[in-house]
Amino acid sequence: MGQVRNRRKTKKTREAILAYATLIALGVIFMYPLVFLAANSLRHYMDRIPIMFFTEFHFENYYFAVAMIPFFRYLLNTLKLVAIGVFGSVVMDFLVGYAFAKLNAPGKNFLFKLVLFQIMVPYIAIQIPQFVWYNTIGIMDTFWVFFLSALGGSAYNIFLVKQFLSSFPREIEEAAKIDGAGFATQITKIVIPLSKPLYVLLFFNAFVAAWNDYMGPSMFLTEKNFTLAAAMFGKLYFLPNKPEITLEPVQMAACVLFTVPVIILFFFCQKFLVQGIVTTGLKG
Amino acid sequence: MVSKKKFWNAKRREAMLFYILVFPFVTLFIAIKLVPFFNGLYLSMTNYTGYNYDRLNWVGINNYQRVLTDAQAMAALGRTFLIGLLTIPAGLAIGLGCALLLNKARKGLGVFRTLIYLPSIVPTVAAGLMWRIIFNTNAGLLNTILGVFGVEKILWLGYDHIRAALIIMMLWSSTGTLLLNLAALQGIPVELYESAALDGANGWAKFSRITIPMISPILFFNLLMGIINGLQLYGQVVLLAPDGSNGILSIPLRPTYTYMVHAYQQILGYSRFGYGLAMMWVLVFVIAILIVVVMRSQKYWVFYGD
Amino acid sequence: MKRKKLSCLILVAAMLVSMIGCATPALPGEETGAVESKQESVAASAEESTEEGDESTSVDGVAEQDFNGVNLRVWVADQNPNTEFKEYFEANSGMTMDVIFADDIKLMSMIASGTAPDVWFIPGFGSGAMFAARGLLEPLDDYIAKSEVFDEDDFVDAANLFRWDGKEVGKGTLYGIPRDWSLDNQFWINKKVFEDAGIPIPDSKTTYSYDDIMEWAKKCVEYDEDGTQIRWGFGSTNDLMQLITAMLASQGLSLIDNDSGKVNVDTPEVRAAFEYWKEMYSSKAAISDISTPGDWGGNSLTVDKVGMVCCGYWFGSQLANDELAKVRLEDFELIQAPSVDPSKPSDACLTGYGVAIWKGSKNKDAAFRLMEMYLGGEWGKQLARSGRGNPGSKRFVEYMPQETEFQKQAFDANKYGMEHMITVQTCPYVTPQGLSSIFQQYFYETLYDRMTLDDAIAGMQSELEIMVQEGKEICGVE
Repeated sequence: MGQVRNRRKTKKTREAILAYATLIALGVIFMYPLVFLAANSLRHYMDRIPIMFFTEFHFENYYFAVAMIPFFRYLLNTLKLVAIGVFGSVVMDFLVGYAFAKLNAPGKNFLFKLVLFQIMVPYIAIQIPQFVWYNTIGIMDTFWVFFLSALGGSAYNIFLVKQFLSSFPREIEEAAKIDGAGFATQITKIVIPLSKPLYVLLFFNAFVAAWNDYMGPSMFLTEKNFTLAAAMFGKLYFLPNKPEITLEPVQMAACVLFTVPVIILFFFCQKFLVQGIVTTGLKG
Repeated sequence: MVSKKKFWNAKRREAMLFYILVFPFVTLFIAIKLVPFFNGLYLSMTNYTGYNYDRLNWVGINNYQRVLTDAQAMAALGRTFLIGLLTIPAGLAIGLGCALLLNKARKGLGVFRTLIYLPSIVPTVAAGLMWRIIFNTNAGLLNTILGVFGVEKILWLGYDHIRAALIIMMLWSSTGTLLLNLAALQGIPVELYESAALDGANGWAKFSRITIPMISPILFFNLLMGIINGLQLYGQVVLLAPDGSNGILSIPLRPTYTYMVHAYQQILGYSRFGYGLAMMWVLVFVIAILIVVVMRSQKYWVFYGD
Repeated sequence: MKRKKLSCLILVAAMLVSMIGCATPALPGEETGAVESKQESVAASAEESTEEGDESTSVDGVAEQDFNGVNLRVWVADQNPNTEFKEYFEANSGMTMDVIFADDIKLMSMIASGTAPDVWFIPGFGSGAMFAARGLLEPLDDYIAKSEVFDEDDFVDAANLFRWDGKEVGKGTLYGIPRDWSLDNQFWINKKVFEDAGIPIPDSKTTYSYDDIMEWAKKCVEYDEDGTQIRWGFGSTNDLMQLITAMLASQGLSLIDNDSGKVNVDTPEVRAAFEYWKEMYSSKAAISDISTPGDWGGNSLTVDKVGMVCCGYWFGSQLANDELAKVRLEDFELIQAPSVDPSKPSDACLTGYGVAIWKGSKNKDAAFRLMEMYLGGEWGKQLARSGRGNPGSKRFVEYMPQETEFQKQAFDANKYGMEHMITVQTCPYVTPQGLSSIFQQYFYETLYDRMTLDDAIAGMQSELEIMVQEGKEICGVE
């Protein structure tokens, strides 16, 4: 008996070692971009040859990154966009996705094809017409552009929610229906608690999408309403009296500052996704 | 009295709820997306150059016929398919593999997960610079590492190896599905594994009989998105183009010259906006066909609601 | 436990903040560089001249119009706007100014919706006449005639890049005013690298041949023990199309005759040019993807990694602002552009920035006033002083920096080049991006030996012919 247990233990440790080795290797490989960003952001601010690894340490670049542009104004604008996006995703996309996943109605298939269609069309095909149309209806350079988009829901997210909710075992809802629960109860008491991973996902995706979105703001907003992403995309770090010289290291420093919140958010979100959550209700 | 009750029966109530829930989606689609869609379609049938919006000439399906007879466009499409075949399945496997590896609670799990997810977080501005440094023939990271193993310097950005470089780049950034896969794996009730173990199932059986089917809707999602993004491949290709200082207009070398690159060239270089748009709508059509095929295959391998 | 961690974090953050607060470093650019003359505050000099009733207050080209409250929108494609000018402008004109970054697609969207910016900052070479030929720019002849700030005869020849008469570039109505321009195929050399390679320092007033350049570039190349290249011979900001165009222009040829629209790619000179650059790239003497230090050459020049960079006078101000270079400016010199035939100089302008007004603008008079304030009067002098290029009006040439030895050498070399300048033809029927793309595509095919030179030339010829034909239709020319 003891021998069997030992064999199992060594097998487990072997698995563990293998797993850790792979993880560490992968971690180093995938970590490089951050190292690259950090190393390049610490070069001297006039240096324009990118480097592979740390050489010098000019931390003042980070101060420049924040001081040379209206950083906090942009940050505020970014947070506005994030709030709108998260609302749209967590509320609207969820409800629409639920409808596609669990409810039947005439015309459902057609509408679903519409959802897929939106995902398939490359953005540039409608970029200019969209600009013209937004201008015609007078919402250019306002946050209505983003709010209405969020309210309408993102096709990508709707599809995602639908796939997720479709994978739930039907028995739970059937049981609830037989017990006479209406849809409202079903949604609030059953579906939502079970979709905790989905919520984490939706929240994170929405946050990152809004945080990183530079296309939207740079197309539809003017400079004073810019978000951080749009500011990174434009060339806003330059020598004031020599505007044609871009200060790459400072731009990299701004990238680092820009990326760190997302990393922290990911670290925080993934905590909710650790295996061991036993689904309730299957037995009840 | 009886008829009223029967009117609002379960089916009708369900349908009503459906319409209420999708109402904002539909109305806003009509309000802000419908007109641009049709406008875009219309533009693809004109001689739009980008600068003559006020004096367009209708050309009908001319542009579309041209797409099908344009040898370069068709070759580019074939190339895009090839690159897709090489990267999409591998990318899905990597994304899933990492998620499985990171599913169990371990020491430092959060750190590992964050590190592996990093490629998706790096902004494009930095990514371009970074990859050029990595692939630099002279003193780039990759060649330096390979040099340790005695491998000769490889000209990554030259004709012979640029496709390999592109694939490396794409596989490296295929961990974007990590969070999604993790969330999907959470939805598998642990009891299933336990009862399977009691029945004497080994690792592989657990994987193929429980894990895969339970997350198949999400796998399906990843596959679909992979196909769509793969066929629209553009951004990463121009990062590796020679003389990348031209930004979105850099021309990649031929082995990586994809369909969308060609479309952008037509639009910005040749002032053939209408034609470029037609190219894109043709691509949408091709994607749609592929999606229909994949969706039909759903019933063989995707399990909904158990 | 958690509270302890949190309070630790707060402490550290507070420390960092206070450190930063005490020791805020000076923002970059708060010291002046060596190429610029003393930068008097423009506002101060404007005040002085007000007393004399000088140009800055009576910028009255557009008569005594009151522009209070007008908001002008200015488009800058990839150049950053000068924030000092914005302040100066808003303080002195009663108008406000919005700077808009827009790439091509955004510009097209704005034009399509009728909301394009009023003032455009565009390169003259390639884009100037191209936009004019597509009916997007406002003719400026009347404005200039009535203006007290501009004098048409005073404009430099680079202004001709903005002229279009419906058929030819260089003649006819003026659509834009040049702001600054350089002779872009002149060279800056690093004397130390040349000395190490045993190359005699070239004279800055002689025109050398392209073969000389290749010879020097190859001599500069050095490798270290591992076989890694540590020194290159040649780098450039100009792209291949510009380099080849310059080579042809020095022989009096052009790729496209812009009056007849004939494409002249299938000629022995173009073939020779292709082979020249193929040799330069594949021998690793010139910086390219085959072998590169990591940048285009500008920074590498200052750390002795490159022997020559091909870019014009404007690079001097970058050198003067570079920490490493400014202490050893005597190591850098500006020399004349090479020519295929050394007896014929071939300095040419290949970019040249200028300002134009959008045809659909609703504030054209106000936009012209901005141009007057920016390119004439006090700010015109300021632009010249900054050393970023030759000014658009000849009367500002004297304000270019000429104090230090370095500045004088650059100025003299530049002046010599200007006296021998040749005009490069640009064709308005093709977009500069399109032309460049075709070149890149076919050149790289031959560089990597995937296509014979003959096939490449034939391919380029036919594609360019189609492009020109379509371009003519777009511009409404037969």
